Amino acid sequence: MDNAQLALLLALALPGAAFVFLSAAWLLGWTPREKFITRLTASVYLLAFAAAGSLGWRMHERELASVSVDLRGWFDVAGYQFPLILLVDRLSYPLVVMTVALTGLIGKFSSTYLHRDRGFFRFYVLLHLFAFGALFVFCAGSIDALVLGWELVGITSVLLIAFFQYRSGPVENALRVFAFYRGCDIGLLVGAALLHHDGPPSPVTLGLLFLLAAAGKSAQVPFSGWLPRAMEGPTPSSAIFYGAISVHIGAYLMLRTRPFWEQSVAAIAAVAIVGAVTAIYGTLAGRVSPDAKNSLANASLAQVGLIFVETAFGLQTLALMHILGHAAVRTLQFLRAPSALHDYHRIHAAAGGHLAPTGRHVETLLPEALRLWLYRFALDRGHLDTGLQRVLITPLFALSALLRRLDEVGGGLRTSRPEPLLESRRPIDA
Amino acid sequence: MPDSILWVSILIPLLGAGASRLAAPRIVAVAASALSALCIIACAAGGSQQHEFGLLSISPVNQSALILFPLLCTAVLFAAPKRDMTPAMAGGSLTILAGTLLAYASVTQPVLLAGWILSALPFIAGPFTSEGNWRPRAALGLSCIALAAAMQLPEFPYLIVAAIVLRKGIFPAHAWFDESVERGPLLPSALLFAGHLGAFLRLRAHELDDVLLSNLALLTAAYTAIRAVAESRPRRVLALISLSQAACLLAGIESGTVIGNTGAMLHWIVVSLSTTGLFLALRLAEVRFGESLDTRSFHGLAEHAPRRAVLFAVCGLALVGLPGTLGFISEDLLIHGTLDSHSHLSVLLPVATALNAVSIVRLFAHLFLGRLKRERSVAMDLLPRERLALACLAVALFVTGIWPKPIVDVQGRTFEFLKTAHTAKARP
Repeated sequence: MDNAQLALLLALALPGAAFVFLSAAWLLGWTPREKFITRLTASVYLLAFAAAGSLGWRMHERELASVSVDLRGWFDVAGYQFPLILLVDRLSYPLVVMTVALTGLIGKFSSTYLHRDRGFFRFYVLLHLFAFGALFVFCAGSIDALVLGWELVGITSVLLIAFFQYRSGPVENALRVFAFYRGCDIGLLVGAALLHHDGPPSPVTLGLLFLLAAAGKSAQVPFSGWLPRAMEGPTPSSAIFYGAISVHIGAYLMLRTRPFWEQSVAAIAAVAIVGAVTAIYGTLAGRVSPDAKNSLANASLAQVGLIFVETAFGLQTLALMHILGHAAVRTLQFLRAPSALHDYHRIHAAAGGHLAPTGRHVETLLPEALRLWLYRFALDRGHLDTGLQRVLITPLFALSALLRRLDEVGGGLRTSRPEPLLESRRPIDA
Repeated sequence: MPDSILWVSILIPLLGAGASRLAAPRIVAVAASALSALCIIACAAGGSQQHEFGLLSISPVNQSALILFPLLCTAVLFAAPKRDMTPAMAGGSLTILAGTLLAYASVTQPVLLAGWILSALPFIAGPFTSEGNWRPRAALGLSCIALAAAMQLPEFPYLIVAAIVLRKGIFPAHAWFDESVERGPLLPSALLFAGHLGAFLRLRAHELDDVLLSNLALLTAAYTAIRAVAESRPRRVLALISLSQAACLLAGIESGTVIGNTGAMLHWIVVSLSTTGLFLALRLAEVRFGESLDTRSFHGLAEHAPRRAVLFAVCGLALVGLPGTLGFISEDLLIHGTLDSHSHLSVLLPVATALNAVSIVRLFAHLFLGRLKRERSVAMDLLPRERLALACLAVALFVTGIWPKPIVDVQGRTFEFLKTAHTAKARP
């Protein structure tokens, strides 16, 4: 194993090791103090950044297009070997550096922002797990390995949305987001499995399956309804997830898997249409958002939609630059969101009190009736939530209730209280 | 000598079942199940070849189950709440253990039938029956009759299918398990379930080439997953999710592929470890916080029981394929295996797993998150023995998930062994 491969492994392993260390310490009964956690976090990401920098230097020095590490032998069954391969190339390397850098910055920011919050320790544990998952996605050299990191990013995202777990709103929103994630991840799981089977699957099938997964993770239409709900989490997690990294992972999936579906016009059209519709939807919804974070979330949607369009048309370098630039700007905006009003007054004053609202000139071109319709449409977030509720959630619950009634027929199951066999129902056990 | 050790490993729990009425039930039960496990490990230590000891044997097919099940029983009996550890509970659980081990290790059909009946006896005519709770008794009783009839009438293979369907809780005979969990004793029901004797019978009946069973398994996986979506009672939610994931196991066996079969054997371990952990954590929560828990409101139990919450979450997510656990690997292999054999129906498997994941996270969120209700008294987190048992289950899921090669290799030999046995039987 050469230095470049070691650097790759180190950059990936450090956040994972931090997660394991903190989790194990807690389970054994020791909760580290804030100072220890923040110093550990700073050290981890400084080292990871140095490792990533070293990796980049080696790639540049030796003019390597990619660096890979084959962790073969994870397991194999009758010739099927789980391809646990790590790969960094010119597509993923910038994203690896971005992930390490932004996570380290968020860690530093959060040490003040979440100071003395009772979830401080929990936040950092999840932050490290998230970073490990995201790095795994970007360093994955196979779709199967990508799935591993993908799932970790989803779990940590949901747990951080439910960060303020003492209120029911964040928890309910987290559940909804999780339902979206798991439903859409079916596309990735089935697509990854199909790639291993005899007879190449059709490009349009693969394209649509990966698009399903990517649209779910990146909150593209019709799955955009979850993103505003995700703003329940603390501002640093909103920044790193929905400004910087998690929201772009879907776009990265489409970039990475493009060779599988680029021959299909239907798949290209689907990706482009989803992206374009999301860009328009995000713009409209952002204009009626009442709070800063929601407004930024919708703005993120619009930009990620454009990235999907760029990917569809093969503009991969542009898409990558767009991801990097957007992530940096949006992270800053999210972190400044709590001070948005103060910033606004400052800019307003600097502009001499005459700050023109953007887009007003476009609105004046539209007929009044259309403007009103668009306003209601945007306010209800494109009726996406209502539509999904009617088309999917309500029928599913109705089916579940029907199956329950079928099961209860003749069984005398209407008594809901269980009859414990052995003891009376005292609430406290010795 | 080895044959007597294997018999001893089965007789010890039976003796313990009787002795638990005379002395401290927890100590006797834990000692009996632990000793049984040690005896089996000693027998199996000789390697993965088949060892026949008269009426009993250890082979690649039953080796993992023989070792795992008594260890699970030990964990459950060690960590069970004090109010549950009565002589009846200890005796009934040890009877389940003895019967299941007998079935696993059986060479001949009558011994298999004896184990099948013995393991179900506590629920048919023993301490775990209750008035009005007829479905478990009926299903288990009928499965015993079906298996006995199948042995007398081998020309009717559908009798074996009926025995598997009834015992395993495959649609349409699935409702007995969640009724047993809801209205009967939780931990013994979990132990009975963790035996997976229906799946074991399917492995043994390798000449059974039945499309119906595989399709029913996939249908059950989807049916019970949908059923769990709107269920509000935690016990039933867990029961339905367990049934769904166990049906995926059967679908993997039915795939007839090495990959599917290996995935199924790994999934067997995942389902056994995870469901045992989940049922144990739920029972401990009920005992601490009352049995009025449901998913219509948030209970906030994590405020006072954070470690219980974490271990519950780990077991639950491992069941539905959390990366880093054995569940991720088993799910991967199952999807690959069933795609080969049931290309259209196999999409039900990831759909069912996704629905189960949502249900388990919903259950976790409603039980452990939110604000702790004022009327609940402050209660402690896990006791040391409870923490040890649950942590062992969680650690097992993680260690095998990060370093799966040894266990994958062991389980991978099952298919080859079965193929060889089938070929040998078919030869004139």
